[in-house]
Amino acid sequence: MKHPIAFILLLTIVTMFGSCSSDTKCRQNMNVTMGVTIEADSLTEVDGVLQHTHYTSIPNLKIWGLGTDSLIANGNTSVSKLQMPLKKDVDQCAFVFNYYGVNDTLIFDYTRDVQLVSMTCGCAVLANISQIHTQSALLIDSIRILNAAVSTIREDNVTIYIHKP
Amino acid sequence: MGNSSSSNEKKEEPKESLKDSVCYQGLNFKLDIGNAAFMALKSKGATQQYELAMNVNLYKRFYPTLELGYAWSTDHAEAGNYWGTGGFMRLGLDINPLRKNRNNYYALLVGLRFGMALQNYNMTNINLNDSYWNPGGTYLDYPNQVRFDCWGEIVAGTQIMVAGPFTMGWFIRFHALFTGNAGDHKPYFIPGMGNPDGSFMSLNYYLGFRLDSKQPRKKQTNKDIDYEHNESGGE
Repeated sequence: MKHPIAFILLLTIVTMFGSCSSDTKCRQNMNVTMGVTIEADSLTEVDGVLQHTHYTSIPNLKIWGLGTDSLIANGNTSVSKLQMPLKKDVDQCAFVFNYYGVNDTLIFDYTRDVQLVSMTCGCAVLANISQIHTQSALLIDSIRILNAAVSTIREDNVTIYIHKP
Repeated sequence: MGNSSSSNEKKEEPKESLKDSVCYQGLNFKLDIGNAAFMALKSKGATQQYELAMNVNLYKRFYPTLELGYAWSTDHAEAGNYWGTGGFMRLGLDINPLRKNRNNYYALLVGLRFGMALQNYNMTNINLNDSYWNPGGTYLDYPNQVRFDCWGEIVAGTQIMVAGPFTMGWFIRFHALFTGNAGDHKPYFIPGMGNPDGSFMSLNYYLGFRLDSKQPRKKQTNKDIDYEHNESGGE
């Protein structure tokens, strides 16, 4: 053999190639959800004086996506922070908030950025929130967008303030 | 006596070697078998890539290089199906930093490449991971896509003579995609580069042959003899 080093190298490369196998399991986080904080304020009159109370944990609040029957918050536990998924195939979706029988619908408008992660993981649909508005404002007092970019990284995107009876 | 001395001189003369001062020293053609085998083995035949390379030997130092290839890939994975085919071209320059030697056809090459690929592909049933709004799955299709990509490479390798005009060598490539953010999605496969989210490195193993430039030999001058003497380390 005239060039043993070259042939050893070739053998090493072929062995290395033979040991490679394609990954068939998705190991990346594909969960793109919006981080939502829910807070409430109430004004109550005590001995003729208006008293302001701020709540960072809301009991009995139910939330679900409009058109689905799957609850994001079921009302059994107090809610302070939760993860809400946006629709991946359209640029708008709505969530229904129910608090002590009062319903309000919150509509999210956003732009989408479809990113193909891999053929084993599929696409991650990132979103950028452009507008949030309510249908009736019976329950929701105000909304604050903290970070419009919704990605696989869990962070606070929106704070929703509701009227507490 | 005189005859025997001249025949000894003839024996010592290098055969068909060119002076280093000659610009055009020959052409090298190479067929990649290493990366082709790697891709075919790794994908169990679903991805195949074939490439030919050609370089021009200038002054035994500079090797302007052209690499041409064709690839196709199919994948039926959990989150979608892919089928694509396309051609690619890489242009670049290698430099041989080894000490020049008139009879040396061995080259250690380091250089740069600019790669371009044009491909046509289909991606179907791509899962959007929308299990809350649509538990049955939301899927997306990218049919009949045409895409152009370009990338840069730093390469290093060897080109060695095996027997007669036949050569072989290997190359290690480190690549960076310049068009990763073009379009609304990153492609799954780029001909000539592979999966843009996969390894940033690839290997080639080449078999090839060289076409040397023939230069009519002229009578050696004192200058040439001095040059050869200096080249061989003054032995």
